[in-house]
Amino acid sequence: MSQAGSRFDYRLLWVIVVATIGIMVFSEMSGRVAAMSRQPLFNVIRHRLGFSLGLLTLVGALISTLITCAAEIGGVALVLQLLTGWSYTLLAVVATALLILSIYLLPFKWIERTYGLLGLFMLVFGAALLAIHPPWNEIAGGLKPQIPLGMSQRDLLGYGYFAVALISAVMFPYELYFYSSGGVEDGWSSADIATNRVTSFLGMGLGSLLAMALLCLSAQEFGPKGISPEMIGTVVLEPGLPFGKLGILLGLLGMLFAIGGAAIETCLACAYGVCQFFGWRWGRHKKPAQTPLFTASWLVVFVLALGIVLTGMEPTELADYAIVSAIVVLPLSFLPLLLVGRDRTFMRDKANGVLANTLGWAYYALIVVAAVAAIPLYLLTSGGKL
Amino acid sequence: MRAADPHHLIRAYRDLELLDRDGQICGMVDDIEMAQGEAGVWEMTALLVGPGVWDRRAPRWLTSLLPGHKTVRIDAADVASTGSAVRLMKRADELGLARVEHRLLRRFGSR
Repeated sequence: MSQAGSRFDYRLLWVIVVATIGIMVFSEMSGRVAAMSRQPLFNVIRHRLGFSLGLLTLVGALISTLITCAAEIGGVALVLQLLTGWSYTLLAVVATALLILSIYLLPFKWIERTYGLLGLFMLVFGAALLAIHPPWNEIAGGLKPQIPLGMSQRDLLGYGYFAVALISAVMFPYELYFYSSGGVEDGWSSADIATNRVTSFLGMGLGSLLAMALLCLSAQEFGPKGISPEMIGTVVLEPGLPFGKLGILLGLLGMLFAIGGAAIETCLACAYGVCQFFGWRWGRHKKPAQTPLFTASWLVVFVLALGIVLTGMEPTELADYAIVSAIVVLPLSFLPLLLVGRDRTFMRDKANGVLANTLGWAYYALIVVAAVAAIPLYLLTSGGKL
Repeated sequence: MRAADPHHLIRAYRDLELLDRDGQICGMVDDIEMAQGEAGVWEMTALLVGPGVWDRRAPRWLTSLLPGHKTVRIDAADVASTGSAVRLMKRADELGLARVEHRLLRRFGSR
């Protein structure tokens, strides 16, 4: 987000808005499918795509989500390093151990509350944006879909890469694996359709507002000075500019819990995918000993993700790989959802209406185009660095 | 379940979650056995579950990465219903399903 803002000021804001509407559409659909069919997303993927293509989707999703989890563990370690000054490697091991203990020892509602509420310190980025009195007319101009005129070919490719990366970052498929599994486990039924709609819209909307604040802060503070915020330590200076040390501290705490919570979600999303595909018991509300293969799956994911971090790859580099691999998996993850969502055999009177179908297929076309363009754009721009 | 078109049977059972008599997840329907009656009507005679079936459904390079070769055959008489999941009339351990999971559950003393 910050790099996109620093390089292209507000001109990519519209991509976040478009992608946010997209993830709201698919999130609402996945919750509705979970409520009506009582099946989570990976069961639906296997039933609709079959074993072979379903397995390919699983493998792709696991690779993408594992890299994401590694980037998040690295991110937590970096934040801890900024707070304590200790060794990054040691803190990566400590962070992984703490995340494992969180899942193993805490009831899931406590994990949600702890990481969710403390992650709200991230709101300091929104407050910082308001405090610096940004040019609201320019921000409003960035909300209009646009391909900037007069750019060099190199900048146009960079603009395309960041547009695809933002779509991927907002529409990460693990969010839906996690969300639909939660819906099934919480026993959603047709009575929960309205709650699902509100949760999908508000949950995804709040995250995207923060993403937009990060982009705008970067466009305002870093872009004009020629600073490219590639490190977490640079990004967290954004709330420090208006609020000083307190702003930086709140920003770091917010990032610590938001990224830590996301690491737990991505790790569990991997375990959900494997267990649902092969028909093993799963569940975040059950005790770890009641779901032994599910427990083993998320433990293995954490250990593998830590292994990736310990190779010395930078979290931002890992995040780039995660974003590109995630967009490639998106079409295979979302197609079964669209097919089941419109199927009245499963969905009865809660099948997709005209609006959900139209938006769903329009966004599907968009993510297919983004998936096809992702790897060439990544290679041509060296991950947005050229 | 019977159908004039065998594809209807395949769609109705294959790649659905299996729930045992107690409602516990105990596998996925990896394939089905069918027989054609005298009137040309197809009938599901058994569900096939386990890695032994995967080879015929996916490229070998893909399935060779997965462990195990066992197949469990569940007679049609043991199937209670099908919908978004297939429900069975017996418990998973009676049918020989989810053996690894049951072994681990016994070891950790949690069922």
